[in-house]
Amino acid sequence: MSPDSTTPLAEWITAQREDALSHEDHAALDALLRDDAEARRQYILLAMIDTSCQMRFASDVDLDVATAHDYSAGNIINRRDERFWNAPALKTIAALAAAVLIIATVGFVVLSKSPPTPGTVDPLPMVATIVRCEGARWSSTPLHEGQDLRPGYIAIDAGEVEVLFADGSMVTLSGRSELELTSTNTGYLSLGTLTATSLPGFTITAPHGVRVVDLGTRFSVQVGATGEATVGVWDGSVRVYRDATDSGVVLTTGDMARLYGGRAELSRADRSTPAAYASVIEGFDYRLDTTLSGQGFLGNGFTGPWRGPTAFSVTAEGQHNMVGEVHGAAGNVYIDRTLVSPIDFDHDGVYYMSFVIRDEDVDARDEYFWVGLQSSGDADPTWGIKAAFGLSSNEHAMLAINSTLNGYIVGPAIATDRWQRYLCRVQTRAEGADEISLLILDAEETTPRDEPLEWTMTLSRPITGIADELHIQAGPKTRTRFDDIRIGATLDSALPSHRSESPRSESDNHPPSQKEISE
Amino acid sequence: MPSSDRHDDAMPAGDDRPARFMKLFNRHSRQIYAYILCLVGNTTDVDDLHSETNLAMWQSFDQFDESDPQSDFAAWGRTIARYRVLRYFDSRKTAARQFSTQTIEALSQEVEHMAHTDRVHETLGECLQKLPPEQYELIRCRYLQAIHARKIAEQLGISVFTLYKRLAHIRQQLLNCIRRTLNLDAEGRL
Repeated sequence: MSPDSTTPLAEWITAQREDALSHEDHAALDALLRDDAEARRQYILLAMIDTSCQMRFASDVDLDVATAHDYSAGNIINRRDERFWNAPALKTIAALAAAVLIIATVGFVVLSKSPPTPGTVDPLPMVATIVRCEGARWSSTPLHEGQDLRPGYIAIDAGEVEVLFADGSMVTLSGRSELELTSTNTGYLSLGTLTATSLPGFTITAPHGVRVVDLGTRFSVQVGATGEATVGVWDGSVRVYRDATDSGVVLTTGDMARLYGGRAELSRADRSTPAAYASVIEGFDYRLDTTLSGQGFLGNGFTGPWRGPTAFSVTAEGQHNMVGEVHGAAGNVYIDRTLVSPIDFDHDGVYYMSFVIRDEDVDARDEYFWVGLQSSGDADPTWGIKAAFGLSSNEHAMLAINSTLNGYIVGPAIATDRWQRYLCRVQTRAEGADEISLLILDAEETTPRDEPLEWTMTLSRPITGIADELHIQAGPKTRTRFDDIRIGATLDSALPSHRSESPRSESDNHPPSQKEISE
Repeated sequence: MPSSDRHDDAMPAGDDRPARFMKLFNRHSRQIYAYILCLVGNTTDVDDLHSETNLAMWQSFDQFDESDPQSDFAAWGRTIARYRVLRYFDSRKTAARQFSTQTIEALSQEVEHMAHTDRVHETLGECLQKLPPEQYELIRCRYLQAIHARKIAEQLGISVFTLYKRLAHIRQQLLNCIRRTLNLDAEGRL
């Protein structure tokens, strides 16, 4: 072959430019570019050559219309109109140029060539309205409640912003997030966390071709800095596409999917028996180093992100992917989460909760830790709880009731430096004293599934009101790791599956195959 | 990023952002266009995607830190372009003739390592002059007003297939000429 012999790559690219590449040849080109670095370099150079040719010869257009006419059978002007004047994107640029006159004078639209005509473009329609800004720190131009929005970006570094789309869908942005409003029922989340209560057809897209299409539901999407997306469904169902080539898979209540680079991992809610489906499961199965402070939303049975003054980071240890060691440099650290199904202490009922912790004794005061149920109206610091289960500073089991320091009791010493499951029972009563109980088991131990149980300790006092938040709190010196919080109306629903005592679901231990996402 | 009402913003007097933006834009626009062309392949949709990218870059220009010596306007533009291309792929009803995610990733990484794009443009004129006159006219007409190959073939009285062969041969010659002239090694580097 002579040095200038035409290679298949050049032929493929020529056909590709003309939109005439066969499916087979396109697949072969795709494979070649994927696997062969030298082919990629040639391909990129050819794209540069095409670009330069385009720019070089397009600049001759005004001088060469007559010549071109000979080739195009008199269709030049129409093509020019179609291509350069009617493109929607250029209308947008025209609107921009109307505001920025300099753009027209220095040739902003270098390749499209046509100078936009200021004032001839209809303004973009309103697509959404800001309905709530709570502690929002804007990284885009600050917006205010009631402000109507046209297609474009909104971005915050912190806080929460609620956006009502024109189709009626409500979206909440939490923490550092960037959302592009693209139409009355679509948006592109490039970073951060979004929760949507939306109508069928509402669509959120994300990097790497991820698309979440609402089928009538409440769902959340979280996009990390690398573009990895996680989708969780609170209620109803969505169809999730891992990339542009995917036919999609339906997620329903309690399901979760992680999507990254065209791959997907599904975590299905356990629906083997109705009773097995707890109202709350928080497995802390987040990407490592996620910061749970206004970002995390993945637990089942929670309405929104974690919030509080403290950033909890997610780490992993053995089978656990849990919230890492917590210790406050000064004062308490805590974080709250809203429960979808509040617990009413003024009616008769029984609820169960469990979680696993591993405590390290640092021989100091203020190393307490608990998981509590509280009202969103309660004060957060220290004792703002209806009921709490945990350990005291001297490594003893602890129960607490009501928002007073006097409301707690301590029980036997706990084992340190090993994972233990705390199984909790809450008996609510319309009349008389409510009752909370705690049973501490080794995490490796088989957990009993049937009452009656021999509870480690019990505390009875009247509790009034509703607990609508989960509240996790640690003292300044605490070194406790925790994972897998579950709440349900049956003992079984608050415990991990019979099949595995691992706090992580089976799907997390064995990520689903590509086949599963395409089911 | 600018807010969604950016489109309505009046340009404050004395704001030199447009001039600063245009300076960077004029220098790097070719690279971003070539990158989009790499990912999309056909020329049908590149203009619109490039225009959308330009607009998004302008709207987001506040986020680009010019004072940071590590900041790279072209790389920033490519990132914005990439998202738009992926979204464009999403919007298509068929996945036919679009690259896999792995290929897009590989191309994107390769582009970041090829820093000689300006010299390609400079050298192209020289290489075009070395083409035989009929080849020069052929490729010129292909790009002039983006006349469709089918029409060119009709005018020349040849089949589209033959025209493709000729265009592919010209592309190959230009590629080889540029590599020779720039003394690009096997890694595509100067």
